[in-house]
Amino acid sequence: MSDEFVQVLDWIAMLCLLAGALLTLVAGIGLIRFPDLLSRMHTAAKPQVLGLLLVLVGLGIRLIPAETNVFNIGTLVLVGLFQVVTIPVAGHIAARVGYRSGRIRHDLLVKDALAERLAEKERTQEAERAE
Amino acid sequence: MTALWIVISVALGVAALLGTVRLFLGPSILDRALSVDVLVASAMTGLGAYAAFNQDPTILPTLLVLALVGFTSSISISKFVARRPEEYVPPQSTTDETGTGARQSAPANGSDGSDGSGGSDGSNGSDAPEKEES
Repeated sequence: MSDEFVQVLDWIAMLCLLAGALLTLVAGIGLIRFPDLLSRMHTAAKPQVLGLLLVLVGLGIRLIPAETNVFNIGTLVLVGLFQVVTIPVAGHIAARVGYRSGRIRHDLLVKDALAERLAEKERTQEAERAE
Repeated sequence: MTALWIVISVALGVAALLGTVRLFLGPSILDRALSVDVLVASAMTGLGAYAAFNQDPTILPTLLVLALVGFTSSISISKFVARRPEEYVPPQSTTDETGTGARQSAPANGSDGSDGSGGSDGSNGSDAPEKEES
């Protein structure tokens, strides 16, 4: 590969890495400044998915001129796949437990659809119990 | 180019420091689990940046292991916190009918279980983030 092409690849990789690092920094600032568990989860999901994927793309572009091994790119794809599959599971369970055990602030919610559903279910259960 | 590498490393370090601050401050245990997740993500980002700086693919299996194992801590802490997943803590004051309905059902929940007092505690202090005794 020519030197100019390697330079262009390096600059693209650098942009991806910089964006990923800045997303991680934004998540750290959001962890400090946001008032609620749900809003903190909102900001914490940014480096876990998009930031890490950007860094993996930058790393793959950076590894292209140095390595000719195909398995490195395969490993990067697997890392991104596992992260995208596993992170929503943890987020879903943490948010569910946080809601059910009353650790979120209901005054910050614009619309609480789950509370309406749960109240309706409770009313039907009360009616069944009364019969 | 070198200045941009320095910017990347400083941003990752500051993000890890802020995550550690939330780890110490966090009012509930779920906030702490969340900040640990952010710390794992920043560690993975830092490892990737290190590998990109050296053009060295030897630590890619470490990234793979972290991506596979990193979510188990949050799930296990959440499962530890959720003692009774069917127990519903009502919101603070949305309408009158949901509050009274939930309050009527609270002794019904406590009659079949032993720790029915936990629900009433959570409903009292749900406007302010409660202190954990962890």
